[in-house]
Amino acid sequence: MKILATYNIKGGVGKTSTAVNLAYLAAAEGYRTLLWDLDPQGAATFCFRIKPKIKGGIKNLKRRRSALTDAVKATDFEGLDLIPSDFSFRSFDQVFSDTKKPARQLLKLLFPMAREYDLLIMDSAPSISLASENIFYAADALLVPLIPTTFSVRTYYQLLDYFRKKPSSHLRLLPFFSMYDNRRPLHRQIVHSLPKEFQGILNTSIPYAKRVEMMGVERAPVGHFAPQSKSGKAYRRLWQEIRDKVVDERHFY
Amino acid sequence: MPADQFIYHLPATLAPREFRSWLEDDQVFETEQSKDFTRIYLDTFDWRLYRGGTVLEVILEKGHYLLTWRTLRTGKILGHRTLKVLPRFAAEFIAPGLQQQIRELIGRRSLLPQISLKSNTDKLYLLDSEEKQLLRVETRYDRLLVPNCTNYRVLPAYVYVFPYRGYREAFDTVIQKLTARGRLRAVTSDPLITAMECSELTPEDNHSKPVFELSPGEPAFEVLTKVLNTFRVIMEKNVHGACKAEDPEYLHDFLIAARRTQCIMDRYPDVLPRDQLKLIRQDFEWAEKFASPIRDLDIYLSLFDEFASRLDKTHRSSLRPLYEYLRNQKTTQQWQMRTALESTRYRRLMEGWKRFLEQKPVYSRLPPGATRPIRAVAAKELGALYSETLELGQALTKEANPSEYFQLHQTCKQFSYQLELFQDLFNPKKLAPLARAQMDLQDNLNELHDLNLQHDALREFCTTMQQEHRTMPVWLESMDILIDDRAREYRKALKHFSNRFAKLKKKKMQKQLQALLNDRERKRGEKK
Ligand SMILES: Nc1ncnc2c1ncn2[C@@H]1O[C@H](COP(=O)(O)OP(=O)(O)OP(=O)(O)O)[C@@H](O)[C@H]1O
Ligand SMILES: [Mg+2]
Repeated sequence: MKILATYNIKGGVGKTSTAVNLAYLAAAEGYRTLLWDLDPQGAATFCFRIKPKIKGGIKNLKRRRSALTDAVKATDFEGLDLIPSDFSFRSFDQVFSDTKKPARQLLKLLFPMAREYDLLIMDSAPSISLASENIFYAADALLVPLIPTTFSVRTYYQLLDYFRKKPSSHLRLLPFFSMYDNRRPLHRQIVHSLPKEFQGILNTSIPYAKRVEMMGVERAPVGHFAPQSKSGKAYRRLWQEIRDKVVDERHFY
Repeated sequence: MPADQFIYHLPATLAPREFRSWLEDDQVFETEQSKDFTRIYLDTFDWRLYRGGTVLEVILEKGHYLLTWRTLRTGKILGHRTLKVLPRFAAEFIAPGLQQQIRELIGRRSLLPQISLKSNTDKLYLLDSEEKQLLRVETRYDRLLVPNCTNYRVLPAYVYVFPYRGYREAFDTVIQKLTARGRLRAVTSDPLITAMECSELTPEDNHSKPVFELSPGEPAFEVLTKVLNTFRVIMEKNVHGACKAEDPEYLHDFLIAARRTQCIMDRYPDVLPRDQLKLIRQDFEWAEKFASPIRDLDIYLSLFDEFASRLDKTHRSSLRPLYEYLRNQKTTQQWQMRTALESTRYRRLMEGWKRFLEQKPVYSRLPPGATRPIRAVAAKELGALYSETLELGQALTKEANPSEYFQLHQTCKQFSYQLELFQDLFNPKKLAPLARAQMDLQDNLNELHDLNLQHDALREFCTTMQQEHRTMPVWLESMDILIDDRAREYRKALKHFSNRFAKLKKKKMQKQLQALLNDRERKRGEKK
């Protein structure tokens, strides 16, 4: 099982939209996919019309090995399951801080499911905390949406700084531009110049688009209700790029 | 995702309205308008998925193919996938888990549409207050497409209930309602099996090796014609599939039978009337000339995973032109072979051949060896092939080039055909060490031969591309890597040669073979 997580210190940058759409596209290609909504606000869970509740909450997950497996819900889309968010996740740090290796708890919870799925995508809440440390430990790659603005880029520097102090050898950082509005000169300028500064910014950008906002109304991934829209196609390209980079490295012809 | 699938019979007498009323009772279902779908069951020509206990079902919907792979016995879903084109090989399933599982069952075989149905399907979804689906029910009214005909055959109707993970309660309630008071009966065998029965298909093993039951005292001519006739039937059975390029295995089986036929025609001039068969022999050679190169191309095409593993990412993309080049070659050659094997010349060949094999032998007009017991004839031939193999092998010096190994390879192959064919006539325990040593050498020679062919084919590809001015530095680099790699592998394989050959050449082996083939042994064998 490959593990991806959307992450950014900053809120409202498109993490959830990305996680939901990529999970949908992966499943449509036949990857057995699991989406874990780790954000207590439960936006991803809402998108799939699933109730944001895990029986017994986070404490039960810690107590019972099978609790996470039991929490899995099928979405309306073949091949895509979801672990719903639960409001008790806001106390993740408190609950797990007294364990032996606090940063490895999330991965430990996932062991029983590693063979059931080809791909896990985690949608995280914006912060740096024990929960995010757990995500960094478990994930193979972090998908970092960057809005092409100066502020947003600064938070990316902060993240890089964090990893400089606490290096993590296995984790790949995959930043990409999100909510890119090419009518705005600043966006254009940053999209043009930043990739020269950092290597590894993905080629695909997600444009600023109404259709993405509509996900909250339609309560479905863009790929489902507007696959041929500009944003629908952009998410597909993003998925393919990520797939070939980290999920399945064997594509060549 | 539905976790499992449960299938029930839908009685023909049950009105759809009544069925709906059972379901709806107190729950609300959303209906998707009923539609005609084409449903296809995919499998290899020899039904490997089925024999592995699984069913691969494809539904054509909105220009996409929805694949569902389930177990035959319980209907448990093993995987699913949406595709734009119907997959032919395991490699075309993108998800790695699914790809690997399917590959384990079908290897490099291709998938063919084995059964096509038209299915009028109603989909009903049980929704909760947020309009989230909790379960899906499908009623399927299937009709079987009769090939080359506008008719349909009506199949039994089914209800499929797809549970969704995490919504067990909803599923239990619905199943309760559907099965209460003897309403619906669960199927005892998968709908595929019913469809197979209706289309009079049996998933027999097409690919089993022919078994010959030979008795040592039988006249050699009768035995050889019996064997040749078996090969003839194999050729007839596979020629169509080979021409249509449905699966590489058809061509493979066709070609092996053709080669073995020619080998027997060449090796037994004392038994078979050479003059009478001269034209037939020539025509076999002519036909094989068209088929052999395609088999080689099939092998290269199946090697792409290996090629890819030898290249880094930047070079890997240059495999594409090579792949296309080989594909194009295959298309051209395939067309030429098809023309040949569908020609009058080929048809006459096979007719004449059949007539010859099935006529009653007139021994006065056959060579003197025709009436000798097969065991004696076979023993002499095996002895001769063994000596020839040793002679050719010994003549090879350290500097011998690949073409010099070719002769040995050919003789060794004939040796192995004859060993396989006649093994039952001899004491199997005593034959085993020889057969083992022969097989080890044969494997080594096969490997050398294949690597050499690949090496040359890659070189030829480069030359062609250069002549057509279609090269780019990165392509040439990649080809160089692969050519070097093949040469390296060749040298590696060559290191095993002397060892393997020495085993076959051992004095002990020679003595054993002598004892096995000599008269004393034969008499004991015949008494049994
Ligand atoms: N490409 C886009 N174009 C237009 N609107 C977008 C786009 N991506 C996201 N949005 C909208 O921006 C808001 C925030 O997006 P989203 O929830 O995906 O971000 P997030 O990083 O997960 O936020 P949070 O930090 O609150 O979890 C949402 O209203 C969403 O609909
Ligand atoms: Mg979010």
